[in-house]
Amino acid sequence: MNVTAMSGRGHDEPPWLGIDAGSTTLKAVVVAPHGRVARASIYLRHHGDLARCLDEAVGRVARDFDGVRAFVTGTAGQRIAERLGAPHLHEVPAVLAAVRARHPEAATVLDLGGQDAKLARLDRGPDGAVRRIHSAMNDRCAAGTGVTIERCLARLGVSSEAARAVRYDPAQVRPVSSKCGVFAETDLVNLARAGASLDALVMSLADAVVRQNLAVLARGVALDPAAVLLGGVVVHLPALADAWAHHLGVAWRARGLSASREGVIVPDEALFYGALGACILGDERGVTSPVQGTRALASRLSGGVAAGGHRAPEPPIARDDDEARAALDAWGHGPSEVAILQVDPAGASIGIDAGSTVFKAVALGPRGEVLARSSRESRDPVTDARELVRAVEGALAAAGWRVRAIGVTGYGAGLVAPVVGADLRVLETVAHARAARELAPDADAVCDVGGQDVKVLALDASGSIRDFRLSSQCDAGLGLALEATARELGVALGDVAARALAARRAPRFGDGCVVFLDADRVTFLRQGWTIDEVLAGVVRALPRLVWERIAHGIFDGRRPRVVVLQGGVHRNAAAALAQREHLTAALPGVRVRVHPFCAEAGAIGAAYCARDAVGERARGAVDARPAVVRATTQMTRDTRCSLCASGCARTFIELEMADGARERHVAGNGCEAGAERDVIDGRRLARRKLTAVPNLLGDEARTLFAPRRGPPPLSTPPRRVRIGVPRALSMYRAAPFFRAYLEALGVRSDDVVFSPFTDARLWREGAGHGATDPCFPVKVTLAHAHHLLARVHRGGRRLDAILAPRSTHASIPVRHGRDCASCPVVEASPVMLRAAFAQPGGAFEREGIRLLDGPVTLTDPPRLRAQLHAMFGELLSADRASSDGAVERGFAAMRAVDEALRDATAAVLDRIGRGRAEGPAAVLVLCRPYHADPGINHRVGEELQSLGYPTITIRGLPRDDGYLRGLMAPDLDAGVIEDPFDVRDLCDDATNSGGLERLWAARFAARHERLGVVDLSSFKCAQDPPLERATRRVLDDGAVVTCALRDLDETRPVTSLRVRLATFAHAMRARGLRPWTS
Amino acid sequence: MDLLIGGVSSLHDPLLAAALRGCGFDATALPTPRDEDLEVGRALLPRATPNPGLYLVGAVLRQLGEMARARGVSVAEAASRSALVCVSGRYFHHASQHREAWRAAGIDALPTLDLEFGRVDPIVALSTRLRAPVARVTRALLTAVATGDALLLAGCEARARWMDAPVDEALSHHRDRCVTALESGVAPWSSLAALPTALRGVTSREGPPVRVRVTGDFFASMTDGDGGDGVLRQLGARGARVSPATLSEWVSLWRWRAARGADGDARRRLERVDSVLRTLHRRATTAAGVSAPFADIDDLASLAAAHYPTELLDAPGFVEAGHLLAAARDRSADLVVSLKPFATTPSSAVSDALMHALSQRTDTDFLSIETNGDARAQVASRLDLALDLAAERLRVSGR
Repeated sequence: MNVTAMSGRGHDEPPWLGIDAGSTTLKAVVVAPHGRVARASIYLRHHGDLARCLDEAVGRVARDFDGVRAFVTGTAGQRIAERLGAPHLHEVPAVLAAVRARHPEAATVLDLGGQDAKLARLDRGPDGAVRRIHSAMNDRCAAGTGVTIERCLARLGVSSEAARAVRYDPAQVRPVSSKCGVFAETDLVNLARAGASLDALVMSLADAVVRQNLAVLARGVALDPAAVLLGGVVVHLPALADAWAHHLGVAWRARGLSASREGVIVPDEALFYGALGACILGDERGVTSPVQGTRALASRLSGGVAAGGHRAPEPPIARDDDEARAALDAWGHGPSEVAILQVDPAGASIGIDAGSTVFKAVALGPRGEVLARSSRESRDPVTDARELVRAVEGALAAAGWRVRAIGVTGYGAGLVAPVVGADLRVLETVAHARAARELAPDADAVCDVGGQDVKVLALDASGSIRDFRLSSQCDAGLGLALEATARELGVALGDVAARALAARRAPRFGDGCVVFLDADRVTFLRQGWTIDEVLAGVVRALPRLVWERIAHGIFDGRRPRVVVLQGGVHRNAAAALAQREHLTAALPGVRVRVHPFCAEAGAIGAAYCARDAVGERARGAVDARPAVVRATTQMTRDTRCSLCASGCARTFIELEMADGARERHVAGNGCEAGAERDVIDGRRLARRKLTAVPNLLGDEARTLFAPRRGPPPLSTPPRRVRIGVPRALSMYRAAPFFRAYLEALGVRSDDVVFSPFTDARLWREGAGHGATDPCFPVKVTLAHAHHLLARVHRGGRRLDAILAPRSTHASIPVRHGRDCASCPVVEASPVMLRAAFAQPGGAFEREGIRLLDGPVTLTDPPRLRAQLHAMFGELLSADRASSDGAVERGFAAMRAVDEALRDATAAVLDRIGRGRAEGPAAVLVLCRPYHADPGINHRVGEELQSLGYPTITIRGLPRDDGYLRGLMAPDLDAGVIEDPFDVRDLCDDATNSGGLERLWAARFAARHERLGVVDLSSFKCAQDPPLERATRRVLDDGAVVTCALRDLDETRPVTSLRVRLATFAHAMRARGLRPWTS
Repeated sequence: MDLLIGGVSSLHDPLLAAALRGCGFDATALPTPRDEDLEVGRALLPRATPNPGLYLVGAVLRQLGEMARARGVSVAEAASRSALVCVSGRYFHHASQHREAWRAAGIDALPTLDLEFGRVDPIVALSTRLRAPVARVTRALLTAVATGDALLLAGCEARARWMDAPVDEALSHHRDRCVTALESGVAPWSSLAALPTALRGVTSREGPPVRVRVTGDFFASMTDGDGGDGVLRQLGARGARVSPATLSEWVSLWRWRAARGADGDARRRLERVDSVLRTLHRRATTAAGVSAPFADIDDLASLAAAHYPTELLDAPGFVEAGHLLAAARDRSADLVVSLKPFATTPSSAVSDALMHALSQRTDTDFLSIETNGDARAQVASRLDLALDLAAERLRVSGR
């Protein structure tokens, strides 16, 4: 709270009260009538209780006055205004009124609120007067800047004081997604897990928010000085203002403008411009406001505000008080306290779950009894892990127990395992499966809802993971959303269950991501729902999000009998009850069990697994183990792995043992080669792996763009022509064609300049160009064009043209389809390029670069010949005959590349064979061609390679009719398909080439029996979801082990990616599908 | 065979069903979608399915449930005797996707007949299947389209002057009268003619009315319960004079697209459809006392062509560019609002870049809104801001 009291009377007219009721806070100012300066101000968090908050605000700033005239603004202000009969003014014009009054020189205004980010550009005429205001507010997908920042900071355990102390240093910024708050949170958590400092995390968050605002609000339009930054976040997080100053400075310098810090203004009263501006705007517009008695002001808000909204309310979580009480009794108190039992000579096993922010440890007796447990929030993983284990070991030792085994699981396991001398590192999914089976031997499904991630596992009869769904980037932070909502509503976490169960109805939250839940919360509070009802609504949304969004379809065809609920969220009795009700309604007959130690289930599973791994080999008495007396970690640029372009951010750990011995470990490495500190050793290992396990996904990307020696050109342009080509989208199908075509018309091989593969730097440098919000593969095209312009052209290799053709169709193996069209977004990507670079007066025109963005239809040769001659004839001085001949060269080049890829794939398929129950297997990567770009597929090929599995691609799959007829004989014999290239039984009306060939390839995998599938899809892809279910059905019917990596976006979620792929590899091995190397 | 028709709007659906009944079919309009339908759709369809498609699937299942209860049969049995008739939308292409949803809901078969007015063939198929003259069915359906549009336009005009409730009441009363007429195979013009009197109200709003052209995706602004429907109401409540997207324009757009690739008879048939619809539109709007020119897709395309490839597959994105440029050229709107369902391609993904660049160079404001059925407060706030800025410009300019 921040308050400055106004003192003294002396006005004949009652003062004006400006009220800015935002989504999370209420700001109020008192100004003299027609004044432009706040005489008193207050800033309060309202936690949804606007009446109480307004009462407090008025009591503090206007207590000396009998009456005021109120002017209201803010997203939650409408209700106040209606109740008071006061005018409500939109917050953006209000803020702008205050800015005009206080900073007449301002050209840019950014106001970061709790839920909304608003940007206004004041377009001035030659006389300096504002001619037009261009304004932008974030769309809902990027909503929640202020709340998102707060949630991220809370997630990282950064106090507001600590955040306030951080200053921005661009050199320390790490890649964090600027796409949306949930993605940013995931990235930050991953960086924290990898050992990044809190200061670096705060700076990275600030940087991400600025980049997000620039992309979504400014959309590539230059912002002019002076820029006024407003809003609570700007005040409370100075690093954010610094980051803005940095980015604006860079842009201003590039335009030859002064980049002084004075051009960025953060006013002292930045919090109050909305409230102040409401009064000023009301005055400017001549809006009248009745005089209000200050004592009765707030009381007019309370009571009688009906909860509204369009949707019918949801029923209560508990049917009646008895059920609520029973839920609280059963699950509301947490597990009973544990006590060390009588010593058993078999010894105890310790399990540690090194989560993203909380570490938990349990000690199990030989029969699984919990002997001791401990947990602590983790700030320094190494120290915290040591102390945690020391505490548990100490309790055991005091009672005379010896430690038989230590198992570690969780995201921080790589760091923690060497520090605590663990016997085993256990994959978290495996640990959870194990814990569930120990609790319920007939359990065939596990649902773990933690703070950050959700894991839903389907188990086979042996307890191995048969199928799994893990929350994607988009679904992250679900458990924490409950916590964050409670915090926003001012409810203690321990009270959430009781209050949610007490609500007799609930608003219906949407089924979007956590950011969307936050947006709904604001809407519902605005509509008058009570805090308890809103809490109940969030809890009710939980099972829908888990089962209909994350775990959609996991039980199709195989209904589970027993589901075990694990994870800290199920300690909330309301959440557990809502889950049980949802499951029993959706899956009649299912039994639902809540693990009594649900928060520690991962640690318990790790302890069981470690005990089994150690077997009879006891590790000796606790005190016999040399203790770690010193542990140091190092995570710098020098520790980053340089063996491949993944550039894993590694942590080097140095341990000094009590007996003087020293140990050195590496964490955060993506493969075993990366575990070698020495680059030469690492390279040797990496080479061995590369030759042993093919990665045809990576090979395809390289092969497509490799220069090939061709016959002499058919014609030669009168002057040398250099053409830049963004290495993106349809080029991942057609690059060999275009290279051969251009070379045939006399363009030198080294004058066909492809941008490099996508990487973080390329994206960062080019992301600000007229950004829009489609899938990453499309929007990164702008960054590729920027690279060609800024790095290639301006770097001295001047380009005559940039080729970004509008590819209308693609050649695919599927027959009988209605069409084989390109994705319309992909096809239209040149529209974005033109809007960003090739408008009149734009960068391309200034640099004399031509944009070649004509249509190209590779499936229709006559049309293609005309299209290409129209596009290139004049530029290359090629006549039609030469151009047509070049087209043939292009097709020949495509055939050559396809044959090479198919030969390589055939070699892999020969090695794995068919019809074996056990043996080496391979992974078919089900994706769109551009997912071969390692910067888009997050190097999934290399990750699988390090797990010992080769990858093959759709393009390389055999097209030999005889082979395919044998493979698909069951479908052909049953008359389901007409020929091996028919998918009409799965989908007869799809027209998208990429979707259709994915379906076909899915059937290939389903019939082959020795292939697993990794299914890649980008965030915001609109073409994959319609066929998702049909694809999944084919794969499930064929019992194909599948790992779906949805929501691929700009940043690489290293740890969650590895958990998924490791779980996938576990399921493959359980099915007898062995890796090529151990 | 029960034809279930829906997914357009609460004004159009009953009229389309009545038109089919007038041709001798058993046709029922789907109930007005509710948010519960959205939830059902979300449970059955892949995520990222745009919400009009989700609402539709939910409403179909609700209707089948009611039919099953009334007839004492299972939902699957009710479905086996039904077919879904819907108007082409960008997200209704995948009948296979519907099949997956029905399968997940325990329904083996429910054929989808896509009324692609642009292609004519589906109407031919429908007519052939039900042994009805093609011309009669086509004309009946187009009459329903024009009538629904006239009601929609009259409603938008009235909302700027009246509260929602009396407008809704008058619209549904006159829609029902038109339904009766269409069922009898009679043109509903006389039923529409009483509408102007019913909607005559007093203007109580202050300040200059902002003229808003709504474009983008027809279904986004029509789907009851969706944020788009709320947008039209909010605009009206703020006194804006709204020119909504109409079903006629949508049909005309598809017809225009189909005509580009057609030749000979097919092209002539399509031109005939357009001509008939144009005539019916004039009759309906005249009867309803509203003035709304028939959308000129050629004009929109020629305006947009320099900026947006009009032949782009599956992408009526050029229409919003055309509307913005037309509004600036003709000074016919102060604000262009483009409504699109969240995850609809390609408008939201591609043309946003273009529209942002274009709107910097015109004097007409442009606001793009994506709806998904949630976050109404935020949509409302963005719309209020756009209206406020447009109104302020009008105030300053003295218009």
